Amino acid sequence: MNGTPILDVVSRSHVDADEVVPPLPGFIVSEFPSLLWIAATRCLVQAGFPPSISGDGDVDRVGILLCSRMLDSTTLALAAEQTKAGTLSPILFYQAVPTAVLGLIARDHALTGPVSCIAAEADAAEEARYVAAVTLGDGDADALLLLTIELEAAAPGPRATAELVRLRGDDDRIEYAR
Amino acid sequence: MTAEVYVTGVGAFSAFGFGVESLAAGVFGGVEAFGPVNRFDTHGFTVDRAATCLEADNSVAAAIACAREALAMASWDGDDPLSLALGSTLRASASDAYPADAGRAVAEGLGLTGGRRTFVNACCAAANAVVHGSQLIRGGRADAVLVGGAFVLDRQAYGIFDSARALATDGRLRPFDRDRKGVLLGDGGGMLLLESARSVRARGAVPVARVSGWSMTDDAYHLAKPHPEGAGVAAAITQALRRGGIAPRHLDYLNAHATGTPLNDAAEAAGIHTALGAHVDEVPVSGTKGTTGHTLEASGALEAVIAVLGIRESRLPPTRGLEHPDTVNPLRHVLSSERATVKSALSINSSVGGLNAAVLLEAS
Repeated sequence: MNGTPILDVVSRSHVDADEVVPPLPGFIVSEFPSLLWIAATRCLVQAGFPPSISGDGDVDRVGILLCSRMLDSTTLALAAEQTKAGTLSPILFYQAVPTAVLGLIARDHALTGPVSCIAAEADAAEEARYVAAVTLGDGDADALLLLTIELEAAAPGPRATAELVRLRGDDDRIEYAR
Repeated sequence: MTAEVYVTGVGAFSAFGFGVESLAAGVFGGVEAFGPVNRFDTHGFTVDRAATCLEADNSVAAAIACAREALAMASWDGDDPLSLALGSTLRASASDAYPADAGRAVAEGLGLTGGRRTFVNACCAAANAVVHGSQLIRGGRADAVLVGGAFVLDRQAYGIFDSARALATDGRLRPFDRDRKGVLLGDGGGMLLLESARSVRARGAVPVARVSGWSMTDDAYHLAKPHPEGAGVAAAITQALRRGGIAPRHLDYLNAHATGTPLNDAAEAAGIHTALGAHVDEVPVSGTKGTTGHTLEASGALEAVIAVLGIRESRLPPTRGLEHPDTVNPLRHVLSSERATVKSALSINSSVGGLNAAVLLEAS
């Protein structure tokens, strides 16, 4: 077995537990998309996105990896409630899946790499870093935006975090205008 | 560091029943499995049609059954550590349920002692599980990983698609047809046992196929709509073929996501054109959801199993429901089951948010 590759954190951001976030246009049900979008945008702006274009004309492939224990529990609860009442809203077609807001983040920051969502059993950040090491080590992306989020009030620490990571020693493969 | 990834066993279920032989008979026979929905009350919905499996009860039990079939095919003895990568749903059945409970329940039901991971990226979830399992093996982090997913239609999934007017109002799923009206849902899923060359050698296993390439991309275009030119689809196909060392002209079969929705199929056809270029007329394409229905988070696994069966049986499954092929970005459609030597088969899937996944399977 090989060891897990070491990741470098290019930039890091979060949304505090007591921070009030404005709703994200297109999403009205839950804070989940707003929290993710704000954490992601702060992190990517800090890293100087959009990334520069390297000498050979290739744009770096940056993907997104979302990891959470409960994911969007607010929207899931609403969907269950509406299913029971027989009044399902059409907006749940995209709001009920976390990939929708990730698609919006990808669009807003021109991220064309792999997008994964993982339901964590334990420490979401730890699981995200492990899967990031696997994905980056495989060469399927040059960098990954790791997102974690917990809407539960009892969850300790920030409600959403974002880390842009790459494999250590990949300086020649990715250039950020920092 | 770049270990081969072998498929040594597959299992499946669908509206045709449990087992890969039932799946093969239905899909390669071009049988449309749709009928009235009896599992729950469809009163008030605009469409009352899906492809359901009478014997299926829940997705965890279905995934376990598929896994057992895959393990039996592979003659897996159960002594070595086995990891799990599962594509699953986010439709929690209880308010205190964790989305990862499905992966935990499948692993515990099978007595697996390796690591486990639950992917929930909608219609790319099971494909992501296949990709992740392949990455674990190719990177030397695991010697055997069970990958896949299962979907059993429930009222919530049906209601969400119905309320969004995404279901085909004419009751037919018509992939790539100019008159396509939308999607129809279906029960289904698949599990594949992936093994390293070391594991295959040590066990004396006989592979049924090889996962030689994969890629995941995003359109970076819209939260719900696909890129109209299929940019992410094209990139996923190109990168998966490149990883597998297969030129477009040497690809023997492409199983498309092909949901029968106007936007998806148009974008996908455009992406296939871009990726295959001058060889687009030569590569047979089919959308097997015309027989099975759309199995949502499990579709990447079910369709990977269909690709493996195409390789094994030297046959191409047809696109049922396709009567008047769309003339924009025309493809080389498989209109009825064909005999063919299938050395390489690519399965592609897409999700809300512009996600795309491509998995390349080759004869072992």
